[in-house]
Amino acid sequence: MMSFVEMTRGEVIKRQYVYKLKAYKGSYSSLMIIQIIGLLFSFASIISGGGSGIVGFNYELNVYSTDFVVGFTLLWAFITGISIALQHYRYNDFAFVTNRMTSNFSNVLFLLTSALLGGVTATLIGVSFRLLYSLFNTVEIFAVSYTLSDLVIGMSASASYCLCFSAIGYLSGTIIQYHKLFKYLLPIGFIGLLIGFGEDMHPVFSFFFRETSFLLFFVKIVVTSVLCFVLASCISNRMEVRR
Amino acid sequence: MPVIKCKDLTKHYSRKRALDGFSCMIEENKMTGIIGRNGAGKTTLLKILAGFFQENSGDVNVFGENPFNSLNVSANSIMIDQDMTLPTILKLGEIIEEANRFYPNFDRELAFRLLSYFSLDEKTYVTELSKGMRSTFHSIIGLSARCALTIFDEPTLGMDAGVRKDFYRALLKEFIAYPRTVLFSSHHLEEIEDLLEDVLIVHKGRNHLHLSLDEMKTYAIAVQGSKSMMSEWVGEKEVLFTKEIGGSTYTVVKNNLSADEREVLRMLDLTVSAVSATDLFVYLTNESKGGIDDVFRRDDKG
Repeated sequence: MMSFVEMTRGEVIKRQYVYKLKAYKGSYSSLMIIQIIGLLFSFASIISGGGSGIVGFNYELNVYSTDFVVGFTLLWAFITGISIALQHYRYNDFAFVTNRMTSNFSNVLFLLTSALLGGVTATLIGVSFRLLYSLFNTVEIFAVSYTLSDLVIGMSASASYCLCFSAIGYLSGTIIQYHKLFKYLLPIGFIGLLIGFGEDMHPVFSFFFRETSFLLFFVKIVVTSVLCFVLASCISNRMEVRR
Repeated sequence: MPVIKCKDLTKHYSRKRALDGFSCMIEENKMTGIIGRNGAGKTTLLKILAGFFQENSGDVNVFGENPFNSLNVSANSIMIDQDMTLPTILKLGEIIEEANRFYPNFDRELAFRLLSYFSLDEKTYVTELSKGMRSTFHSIIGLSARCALTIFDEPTLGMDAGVRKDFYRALLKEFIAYPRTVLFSSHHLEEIEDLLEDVLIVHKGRNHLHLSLDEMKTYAIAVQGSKSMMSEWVGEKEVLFTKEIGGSTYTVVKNNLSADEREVLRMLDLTVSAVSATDLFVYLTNESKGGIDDVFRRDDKG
C-alpha cells in the first residue's frame, strides 16, 4: 500500500504559491509590455506651452507625468485578477494537491506579489522617466523633489492601488465564473452606474483617491481588498472542477 | 478495509440525473474497472470521488472523509482524464517537476524515463501534443504520482494500440511493485480484462453489478439450439440476451442452473458455451434483449 501522506494547509498553500509564480509567469511579460506602452503614451502626452516676454525673454513649459504608466499598471492588475479567477487557471490548481481554500489563498498571495511588483516598477519608471528626460533635454526640471521616504510611500501607494484593483478583478472573475451571464451583466452594470449616477459616484472616488493621510488610505485599500477576496472565496467555495 | 464507501449517491445536472441512488464499497489496493455505457454516470462518480464535484444527496466517503474540499483526499489521490488542465506556459519537464513537488510519493526518475520511452520531448508544451500524446503524458503523471487512490477516467483516449499496450503493462508493473487502489474506467473492457481484479458496472446512474472478474466470466452461459426447442427450454427463465442465427436461437441466461436443468439441456441436445466478460457487459446494459437487431426487425412485424 502506498503510504498515506498528510499535508497541512500551510504546506499546500506554499507549494501552490510557488507553482503559481512559475505557471503564471506570462503575467510578468505582459506587465513589462503594458508599462512600455504606458511610457510611450507619457512621452507622447507632454503638454507644451510657452510664451515670450517683452525684453527678449522666451520661455517654454513642458508638463509631463507618468500617470499613464500607473494607469496601465492598474489595468494590468485588474486583468491579472480576473484571469486567475477564470476556469483555466482555477483548474490548473486541481491538477495537483489543493482544495478551494488553499487555491484561493495562494491566489491572494500571488496577487499580492504581483501588486508589489507592479507598484514598485511603476514608481521606478516614474523616476527613471525624469532621468531620461533630463538626459535628452538640456532643460531645467521643476519637480517635486524626491526623498527616499517619498519613494517608499509612492511605491506603497501604487502597490496598494494595484492590490485593490486586482482584488476587484478577482472578485469579478469569480462572479463571472459562478455564472457566465455575469460576463455581460457586470460591464453593463458598471457602465450603467457611471452614466446613471456619475455625479453621485464622486464621494466614492474621493474616498479612495483623495485621501491625504497615507495610513487612512492604506487601511481603506486593504479593507476593500480583503472584503473582495473574502467574498470571492465564499462564492467559489462550492464551485465544481473540470465540468 | 474499504477505501471508498458510497451510499445512495445522487447527482443531477439541470436536466439529467447522472447518479441515481448509487452505492458501493471499494476495498483497499484493488484494481477495479469502472465499466458503463456512454452517459452511464462513470465520470460523474469518479469526479465526486476525486473531490471535483459535489453530490446532491447521499453519502460519499474516501479515506474516511467526504472528498469535496478535503486536502487529505487531494493529497492522496490523483485523477487522470482528458480534461486535466495543465499550465500551458510550462514545458513537460517543468510540469513533471511541479507534480514531483506536490506528491510526496512521486517517482521523478520513473516519470522522465517514461517520458523518453514514449518519445515525449521534455522541452515541448502540452498545447503542442496530439490527443493521444496528451493522454500518454497525463497517464505518466498518474503512474508516477503513486497516490494511494489513483483514478484513470478513459486514460487511453486517442492512444494508438501500441502505446495502449505499453501503458497497460506499465500500470500492471507499477501496481504490483507499489500496490494502490486503482479505479480504471474504459470503453475497452476486453483490453483491460487482464489488469482488473474487480469490475463495477455502472448503469443508469446505479451500481448495476459489482463482482470479481472471475465471477463475471462464469456469471452467465449461452445456450443455442433450434427455435422450437429453445422456446420450450427457456420457459420462465430470465433471459439476458437472445438473437437468432439462421434457424436456431442463441440465448444468454444466468449461470445458476440446477443439476436437473443441466440434464434437460443435455437431453434436448442444446449447445452450451461460455460468455465473455465483454459480451456479458454489453448484454447486461442493453436497452432491449435483442440488441441492435431489434431495430432492424420491422420486416418481421409488417
